[in-house]
Amino acid sequence: MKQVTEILASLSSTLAAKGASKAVVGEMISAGDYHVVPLCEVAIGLGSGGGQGTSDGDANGVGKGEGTGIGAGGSAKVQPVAVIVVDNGGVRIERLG
Amino acid sequence: MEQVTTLVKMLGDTLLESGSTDVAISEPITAGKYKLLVLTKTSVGFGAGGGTGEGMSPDCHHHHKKPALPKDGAGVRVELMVKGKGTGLGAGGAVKVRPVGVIVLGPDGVRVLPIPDKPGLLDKLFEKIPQLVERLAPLMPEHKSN
Repeated sequence: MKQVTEILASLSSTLAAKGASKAVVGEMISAGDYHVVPLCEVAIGLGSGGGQGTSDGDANGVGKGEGTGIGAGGSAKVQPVAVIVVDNGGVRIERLG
Repeated sequence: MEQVTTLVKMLGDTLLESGSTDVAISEPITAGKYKLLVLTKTSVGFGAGGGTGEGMSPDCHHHHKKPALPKDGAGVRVELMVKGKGTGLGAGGAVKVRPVGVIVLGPDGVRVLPIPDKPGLLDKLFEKIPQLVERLAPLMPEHKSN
């Protein structure tokens, strides 16, 4: 099952490199006295699995064989959930959705 | 099951790294005369499992190649069985980071503005229960008392 470990290592290092937490607070956008900061919800999932099997076959060796299978998958979702608005009236949060 | 331990450790390290608690409070953002600090909530979950097994099973796929049965019937069971063994391993995990509030530092003092969570499916369902009961009530048979 070394391959499973390798795949998971590759997947997870990629996802870690993306820095899930850092994606939550977006870059501030300023327009005169107005400033907005987008806030996002970030969700990341990954999984990996594999198996291997061998068969000795019957007494005559029929059905003898071996096989391995591995799989891996991952997903990432970044969804804006709110915006911080700073203007002359102060600071407020506008919820999205 | 050493591999399972390795997988769990790797997955845990990665997920914790992705949703590091260091960023539960963001770097201060300066917007005009205000300084903003975003508070985040991090949820991490992961799991792994594995197993090994071996056994005998009937060889259903090779009946056409089945050897001739001995006259006395001895050894029939052995001839029709296939011995095999296998192992399986799997692991998965998820991390979710969402902003929950903002600390606002300004000329008028410090405030914390919450970011309300979007209601989940269950919350929506509970909200609908009174309406549902109202609609279903006329359809229910009348309760007869003595």
